[in-house]
Amino acid sequence: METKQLAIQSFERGQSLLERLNKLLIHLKLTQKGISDQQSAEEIQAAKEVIKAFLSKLSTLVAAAEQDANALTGVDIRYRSLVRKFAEAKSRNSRYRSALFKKNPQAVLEMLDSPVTEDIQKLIESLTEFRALLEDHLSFDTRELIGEL
Amino acid sequence: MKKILTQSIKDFARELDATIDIVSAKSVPAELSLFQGWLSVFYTDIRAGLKHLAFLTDLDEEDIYVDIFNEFSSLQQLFRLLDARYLPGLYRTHRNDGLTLKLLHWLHGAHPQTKQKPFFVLDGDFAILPTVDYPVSYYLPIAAQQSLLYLPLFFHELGHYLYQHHRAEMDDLVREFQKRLSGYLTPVVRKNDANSEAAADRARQKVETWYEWIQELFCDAVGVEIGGLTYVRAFSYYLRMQGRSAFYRPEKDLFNSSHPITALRILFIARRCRALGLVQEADELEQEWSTIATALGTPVEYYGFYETKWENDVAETLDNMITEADPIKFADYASEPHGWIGLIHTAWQEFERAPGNYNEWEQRALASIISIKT
Repeated sequence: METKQLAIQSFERGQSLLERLNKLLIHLKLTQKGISDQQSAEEIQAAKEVIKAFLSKLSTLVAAAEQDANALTGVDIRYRSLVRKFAEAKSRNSRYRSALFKKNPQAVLEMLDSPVTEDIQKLIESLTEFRALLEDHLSFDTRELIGEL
Repeated sequence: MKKILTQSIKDFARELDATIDIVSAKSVPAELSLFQGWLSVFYTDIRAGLKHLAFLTDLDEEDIYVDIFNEFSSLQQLFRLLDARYLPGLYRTHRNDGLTLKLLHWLHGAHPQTKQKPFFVLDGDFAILPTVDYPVSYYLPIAAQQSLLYLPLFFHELGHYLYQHHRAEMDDLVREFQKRLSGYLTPVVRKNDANSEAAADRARQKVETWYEWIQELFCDAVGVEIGGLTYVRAFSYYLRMQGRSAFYRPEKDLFNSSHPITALRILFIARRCRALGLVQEADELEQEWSTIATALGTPVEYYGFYETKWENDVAETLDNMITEADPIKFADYASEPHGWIGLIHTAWQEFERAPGNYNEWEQRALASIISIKT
């Protein structure tokens, strides 16, 4: 598999997720203030499902990566790199402080459907940090595919 | 921040509108019409996304500016990706693309997974960008665009798309294989010293590297299943003179490498040929590569990335992957003298029979293809 091939697959996977993260974050913030974001309930639910599926798979792989002798199987090299960045971020205190990185990711998955204000706030923090990690990861793929000015 | 967002949205909208106009105004060969339609819809969707961002910006809610910024940036990267890697496939289309487009149109049409999948071709070394949500882009060298001989290399590239199309099932099969490898490579008793940890780390990396390797072997298997002898010839001629690296690579170059050593690929191509009844062709292929290896004096050394005792595990996994992807079989097409497989097969026979006269023969064949084949 060529580098560009891996980059486009990683880009496709990441962009689709980023779009859902942005959509959900905007929805959560505006809904808290009683403002409509003009997104249908189906669109928001679909975004949540994609995020849930991705984080669920990621947390399983991160658990495997944390046992350092285990190979990450069934995933390509770019995905393996994301898993290891996530595992590293969990063990770092400085930059990633949200529940997603400090607690079990499963707890954050449950917050996706919680109506409790405190949970929604924690969810916004977690998804915002996850988006930052994902953007850092995708910048390699973007450079590989588009280049820089 | 609102001013920056508003200005950038307007500028992006202007650029998008110009691009939408370019796409709809372009006259393209029939084989690219799916791709042209896809581009129009996709750019229009980005335009709708941008309009929504304009609405959100006008809400004057400062705490979502960062999210609007991120979504804008995401849309812009998508737009630039299309601009850099997709739009040229439409905008720069050339009459010399005809042969390749017709072959790919047939190949896509022959598989239910790709029948409705937009695709296009660009200049470059043989490659594919096999995405599920975007059109498939195929690359091939400029000289190869005018010849029949190397077109079977696209059968390998299609394999990469078939993998993506069946990704969940394929990943499961590969995972199962990697777990078996892990069992072979991981020491039963682990000591807590630096040497043991380093050995375990090397074993882990070898298992992970096989994710990429098995996909390449699968794509070769797809190539043989679709192209039979035509793939074997194209593959061997294209790669056999690439130098020592086709037979041997230093250990450090193997970790996380994208492709297995070519000699290993030959082993599994030959094995599949025999399984499909191409026994003599398999013998000739192995003989050819063995002659070159002997002449170069290259060692047979895989540094534990491959052991002969794994051959059946690899072959069984490849068989399961082929069952899942279900590519067309050359035997079903080879008997059609005017079909692609039959034609390329004849092309290789003509080339090997009288290389000096081949170009003349090919020019006649190409002239009739461009005018007849759809």
